[in-house]
Order: sequence, then structure tokens, then C-alpha cells
Amino acid sequence: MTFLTANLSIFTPYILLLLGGVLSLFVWIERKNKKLSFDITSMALLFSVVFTISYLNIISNSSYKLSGYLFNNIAISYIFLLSLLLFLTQKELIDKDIKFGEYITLFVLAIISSSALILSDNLFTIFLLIEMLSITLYALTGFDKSELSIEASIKYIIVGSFATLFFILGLVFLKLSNTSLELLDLSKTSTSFSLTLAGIFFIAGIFFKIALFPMHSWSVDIYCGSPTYITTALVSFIKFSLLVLAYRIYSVFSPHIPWQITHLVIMLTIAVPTISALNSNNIKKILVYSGISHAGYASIGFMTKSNPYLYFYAFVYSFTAAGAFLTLNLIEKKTNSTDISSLKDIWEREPYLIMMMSIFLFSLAGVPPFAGFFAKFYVFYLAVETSNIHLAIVGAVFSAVAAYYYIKILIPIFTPSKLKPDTFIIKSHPYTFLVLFIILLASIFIGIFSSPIIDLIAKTI
Amino acid sequence: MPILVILLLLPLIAGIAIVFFRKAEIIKHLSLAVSLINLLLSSWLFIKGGDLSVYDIRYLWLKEVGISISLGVDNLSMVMIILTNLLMPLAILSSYSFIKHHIKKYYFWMMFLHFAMIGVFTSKDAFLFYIFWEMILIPMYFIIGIWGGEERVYAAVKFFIYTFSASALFLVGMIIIYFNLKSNGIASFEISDLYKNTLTGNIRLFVFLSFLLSFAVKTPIIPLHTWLGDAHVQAPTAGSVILAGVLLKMGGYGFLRFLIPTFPDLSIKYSYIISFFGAIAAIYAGFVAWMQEDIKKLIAYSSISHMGVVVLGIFSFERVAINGAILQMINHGISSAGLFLAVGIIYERMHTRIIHNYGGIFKLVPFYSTFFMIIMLSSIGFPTTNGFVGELLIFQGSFKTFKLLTLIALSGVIIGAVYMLWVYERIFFGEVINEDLKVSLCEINIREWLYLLPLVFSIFAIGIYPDPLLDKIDDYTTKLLFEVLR
Repeated sequence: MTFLTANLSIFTPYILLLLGGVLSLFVWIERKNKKLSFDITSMALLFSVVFTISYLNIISNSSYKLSGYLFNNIAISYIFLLSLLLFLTQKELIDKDIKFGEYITLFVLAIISSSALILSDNLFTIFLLIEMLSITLYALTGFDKSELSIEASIKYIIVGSFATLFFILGLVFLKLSNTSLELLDLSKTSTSFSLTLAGIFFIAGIFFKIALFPMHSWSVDIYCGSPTYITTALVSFIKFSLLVLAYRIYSVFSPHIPWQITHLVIMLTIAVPTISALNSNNIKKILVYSGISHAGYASIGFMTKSNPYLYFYAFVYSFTAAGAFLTLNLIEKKTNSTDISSLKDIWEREPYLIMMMSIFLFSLAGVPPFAGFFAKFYVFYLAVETSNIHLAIVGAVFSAVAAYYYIKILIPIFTPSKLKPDTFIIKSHPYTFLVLFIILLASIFIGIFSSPIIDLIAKTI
Repeated sequence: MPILVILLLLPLIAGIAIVFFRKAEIIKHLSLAVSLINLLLSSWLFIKGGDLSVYDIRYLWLKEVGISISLGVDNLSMVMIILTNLLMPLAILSSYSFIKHHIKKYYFWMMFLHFAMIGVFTSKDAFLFYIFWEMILIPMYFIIGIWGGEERVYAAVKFFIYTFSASALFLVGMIIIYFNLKSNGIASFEISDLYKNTLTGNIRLFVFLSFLLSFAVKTPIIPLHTWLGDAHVQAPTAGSVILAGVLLKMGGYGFLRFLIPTFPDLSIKYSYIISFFGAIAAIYAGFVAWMQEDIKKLIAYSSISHMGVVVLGIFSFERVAINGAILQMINHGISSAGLFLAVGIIYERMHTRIIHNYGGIFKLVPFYSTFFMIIMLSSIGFPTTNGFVGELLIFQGSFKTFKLLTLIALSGVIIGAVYMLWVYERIFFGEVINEDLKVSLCEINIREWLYLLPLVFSIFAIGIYPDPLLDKIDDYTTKLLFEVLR
């Protein structure tokens, strides 16, 4: 009996979230009450967060404490928390812009599948959940029905189908050789031809999902084309759970595949998007390209089997990128464009917002003392520890190259426009600013207080 | 007694407090007060002397990777901290009238910059040093970009990218040394432990070069100097003061604290090449400065030429020369800060820095002209000023090791005298051709007296009686050479 079958109560938040999602759809369509719909879902999310956090106590007192389930629980509570915060920022959006209630249900399904991915320890379950996640995302990326987002959605379907194809092929090979699909058993199996083949397919599939080179090219269009509020979700909690999943799958199959491929992929993922972003003048495109290179940095953490540094990097990246995209969302709402020059008009009147954005950008660039620097340091530390100095050098050099496009975004604030300075022109629901403030504090202090976090992760995985 | 923590955190706390105030006057006076308190504390600590290691503080911070918050000072750090704390109040005083918009943000960034600079000089842990080293870029980027001159965007971006790229590999090199130490049983990032590394071969050369690169860009050593011409000119007055006065010295500090003790053999092996570039800087930058039309650019290139002489002094590995180099770092901090402050004064009044817009202003502003004369004499190394002592010591020491390079650098000093005197003649002597000067150029007021006087005082004090300062510097140098020659 595994942990999951022994403790079915872990599924309570999922059941409640599912019920909440369906109920809110019902309320939206039948009662036309968007506010109630929003409230039901946020209540369900809040309950999930509270439940999973209180569940930590139960697990740490049980015999499953040391088998990685404590970490799963921590990761799930983080995903629920982050998705709750992001959902709260969408209140105004849901009240005014969203016309179809399916949005909330799809969002909730995405949250459920991305968090359940962390719990799964069987490749078939992983496959099912990835499909569930992808289908909800296909629909969400095209949600505002503009040409760009529909194009992004179709591209996503095509790319996602390729990833699915690779997964299915991997599953077929494993089943044909009568190997177990449990991750734990797979990590103990010795190398065989079918395992190597299956490994290559699975790793290709999961690398497709986290958009590593050379599978990153269409994901730029996908992330850029989708509406900014969806991109925020994509780069934050969904990327986090996909990176954790990628790490698990990679750790299982890494003894069976040649290591040179991974190193090459990581170095190219760090280098190529960085160079492609240098030319761009669109904030959204720059942030998306940088997100792809950040997945490359996080992948440096694949080098050893259970190190806390990859989880820490994914954690820091997810909330910092969420913060950057949330501010971008606010700017886009006001100026209707994500071009760099749209910052010109905003600086004189919303200096605090721009300062907040600059802190998120510096954190992404890896400038001390913000959290992003510590994440990069830990990852370079791991690279040198495992004698992969070339990864650290490539990472350091392209961090410096990337700094250019981060500070390029801030250039318009140096040539302010001649508009009348009345401050605080961006009106948004207080929830948005509250969430931004929380993420700001996290970006500033998580790096400095990273030791207890790394300690916690290392002890619980 | 946690005096180092107070020195370090006081500006940061003041900066955070500034966010909550509204009135510009309170903000300005608070920043000035805090920097003055810092100056008093550090001067007391320096004059008291004695064993400085009693002030060391160590707090285990990131356990898994062996990093601690380790603060401590020795004579070299103290001297640099005194320079920083001396120049900050002067920079803030000069900003009172210069900065007219976004005042709160400006003083916040200045306080944050002060915090980061003190952090660089007090950290005894290499990782902490790196954090503060990179932290300086953020306020400088904003200060140059928001309150700077016409080409400020180009200058700010160039400055940030240049310096950030150069120190990127420093991080990797540091981690490599850490793992080398760990394999020998020491697991820490303490700077004094870095000296015990046992790297060999190509890796050793790689780490040496990565260290060299990041300090060479900061000092700067030709050919990595091009960011300075833009950054110094486009920055606001106080920004230029801090850039030229303190940030350039961090390069020299890095050489003395990191490069030379960690890789003594490689430093001696490559000392000729590095000193060669230093000596070339003295002449080349001198010629470029001679041709300038813009006073600030002239002063910027004269800074490069001075720092070239300092580099020559450091890498000649003579006790006298290193003493002179450290002293010259302080001297150059004072004189170039003075020059930038003086140029700031006339720029505020006339809004032009081009030399041929000025002429014969000695009659109009005699006190100002006298101050400018004294600071200029310090810059060219005139006897009885501090510049003379520093340059004499450097050349006396470096002549033993590099005869030809010393001669080249000496010619550079002569060229320095040439263009400085020529600039002075063009601006101050002769007839007042430009009518606007008679209208707009008024004499310096009390606030400006207040920030020029301490510089003049230090110039003559160090020039006539440098012994108290030199003794402490010599303590440090003998310890350094003992460790290196071991």
C-alpha cells in the first residue's frame, strides 16, 4: 500500500476544488452571478491552501516523513498558494472582461492537474495529468478570441500533440518490455535497450513541455500570443510543477541516456533564447525568451539526483516571473501595448510601480541582493560541485548578456514624457497591489533568508 | 562592539526611512546627517588605531554552502572607508541644489550606494564581497540614467553591462576555489581562506584571469576603460564624485585584497604586462585628455591616467611603491572628487561644460578659482600637495623594478601637468569674452565653501605631514608583502 492509497484524505482539496469549479460554472451560467462564482472558487482555493498546510503536520508525524511525501505536500501548498494569489488578481478581469464562465473551471482544472502532477509516482498517471493540463491550457491560451491568441492556441495544440506522441511512444516501449511504470521501480532497474529508448522519448517529451532547446521556438509564440493573464499563470505555477516533474523523470532515466545530450541542450537553452531576445522591443517577448533561458538555468539542477537547488530555482523563478508579468498586465491594461516605449508615459505618474518592476527585472537578471541571484548562485555551485564547470561558465556569461535586455526595458523611464504628472493613474483592484507587494517582499528577502528554505527542501526530499 | 554593523547598516536604515518622508528638506538633511555620523564613527575608529581585528563579526549565514556574514577591517579597508565616508557628505551637500526632480528616489539611491560601498570594504567573506560589489551597479545605473546629462541612457547602460559582464566570471572562479579548498578540508568562502587554495595548471590560470578581468574593468586598465569616459561625464556631479572617488578605488582594492594574495606567483609573472598597460594609460589617457573640449571628459581621462600610475605602483611589488599606490588612491579620490565638484559648481550656473565657453573668470570668482587651483595642483602632483607624496613614493619604488615603464609613466605625469595648466589658463586667465559669464557666474556660497574646504584641508595635510596615514598604510603593506613573498 503506497502513501496515496493509505491516506485518501490527501485528495480532499482536489475534490473540493473540482466541485468548486463546476459549481462556479453553474452559478455563472444559470444565475449570471459572476461575483458569487469568483467567491466560490477563491474560497475553494483558500480551503485547499489551508488544508495542505495543516496536512504537513500529519505527514511529518507519520512514517512517510522521509520518503519525499513531505516535500510533495510543501510543493503542493506552494502551488495552491501561488495560484490563489494569481486568481485573486484576476477579480477585475473576471468581473469585466471574461464573458464565458468556462474560464474559471478551466483555470481550476489547470491548478488541479499541475498540483497533482507532483503527487504522481506512476508514469501513466503522469501522462494522464499532463494531458489534462495541456488540454485546459490549449483552451485558456485562446480564450480572448483575438487572432493572436487563437494562433497561439493552435500552435500549442500542435506542439503539445508532439509531446504527447513522445510520451505515448515511451509508454509503449516500457510496456512492451514488461517494465513497471512506477517511478520508484524504474529508478532501480538496470540499463536495457528498451529503457534507453523509452528514456529518450520521455525526456524529449518533458523537455518539450518545459520548452528547452530546440523545442523552444514555438513556445515563444505561444506564450507571447496568449493573453497576459494566462501567460502569468503559465510561467508561474505551471512552470514550477513542470520543472519538478521534469526533474523526477530525468532523474529516473538519466543513467540510461548519454549525458552529453543533456549538457548540450542545457547550454543551448541558456544561450540561444538570450541572443534572440536582444533584438526585441516588446517587453512580453523579452520576458518570455528570458523565461526559456531560465528553464535552462534550472535544468543545470538536473545534474544530481536529489539536490534542493533545482527546486529552489523553480520556486524563485515562478514567483519573480509572476510578479514581472503581473506588472506587465497592469501596464498593458493602461497603454494597450506591451512595447517598451509604453513605459515612457507611466514613469512620471506611477514611479512605485516601475520601481517594483525594476526589482523584479533585476531579480530575474541575477543581480544581488535579490532572490534571483541566490538561485543562480546555487545552480552554479551545483555545476562546479559536479565538475561541470562549462555549464557554470556558460551560465555566467549569458547572465551578463541577458542583463542588457532587462535594463533595456527600463530605458524609457530615463526620458520622461511631457505629460502632466498626476500620480497613480493605474486603477486596479486592491488585491492586485496586495499580491504584488507580497511578491515584492519575497523577491527581496527570500534570497537573503534562503538558508532555511534550502535546508527544508534538502531534508524533505 | 558592533561598530562595523552600525557603519554598514546606518545608511541603509536611513534610506528606508527616507521612503516614508515627504518633505524634501527633511530628506536632504537626514541623508547629510547620517553620512556625517558615518564619517565621525569611522574617523574615530581609524584614529583610535590598535588591533582592528577585535571588531570582526561573523555570523553563519548560508550553512549548506559555507557562506557567513563576515565583517572585518584592516588598515587598507579603514583607509578606503574613510575616503568613502569623507566623499559622501560632500556629494550629498553638492546635490542639494543640483537635484531638482525625483528628490526622494535620489537620496534613497545615494544611501543605498553608501551602504553597498561600505559593505564592499568591510566584507571578509568573498561571496558577501561579490554581493556588495554587484549591488553598487543598481543605484549607479539609476543615478546616471535619471539625473544625468544628455547621453545618460547610453552611459548608464554601457556602465552596467560592462561592469556586470566583467564580474560574471568572478563568481564562477570563486566557486571553483571554494571546491578546491573543500577538497583540502576547508569549507568556507572567507577571503583569508581563499589564499590557501591549491589550484594548479589551466584552472588556476582561468580563475586568475577571471579575477583580473573584473578588477581591471573597474580600475580601469586600458583597454577596458571606455565605459569611464561616458559614465563620468554623463553622471550628475555627485555621481561623478562617487564614481571617480570611490568606485575606481575598488578596482585597486580588489587587486590588493584578492588577486595578489590569492595568486602571488601568477601576479608576479604577469606583473610586467599589467604595469605596462598602467604606464601606457598614463601617457595615452593624458594625450586624450589634452584634446578634450569638455572639462568633465578631461577630468575623466585624467582619472584613467592617475589610476594607471597606481596600477604601476601596485604591480611593482615594492614596499615603497605599494605604499605610494594606496596613498595615491586616496589622493586621487580627493583631487578628482574636488575637480568634479568644482566643475559641478560652474555647470550649475552656466549649464555648459565646454571649455571655450569660459575665459578669464578668475576676476569674477576669485575664491572659486583659488580652490580650483589648489585641487588642480594636487591632481598634477605639485609639491606640498598630497599628489606629490603619492607619486614620488610610487616612482621611487617602481623604478627599482620597471625602469622603462616608470619613465613612460613619468612622462604621463608631465603631460598631466601640461593639459591641466592649459585648461586652467583657458578657463580662468585672460579676458572675459563671454558676456553671459558676467551675468550668471556668481561667487560660491557658504554651502559650497563647506564642501570644498575639507578637500583643500586634506590636500595640504596629507601633502605636508603624511606620516600618520603612511604609517598605517605601511603596516598593511608589510603584512601583504610578507604573505606574498612567503
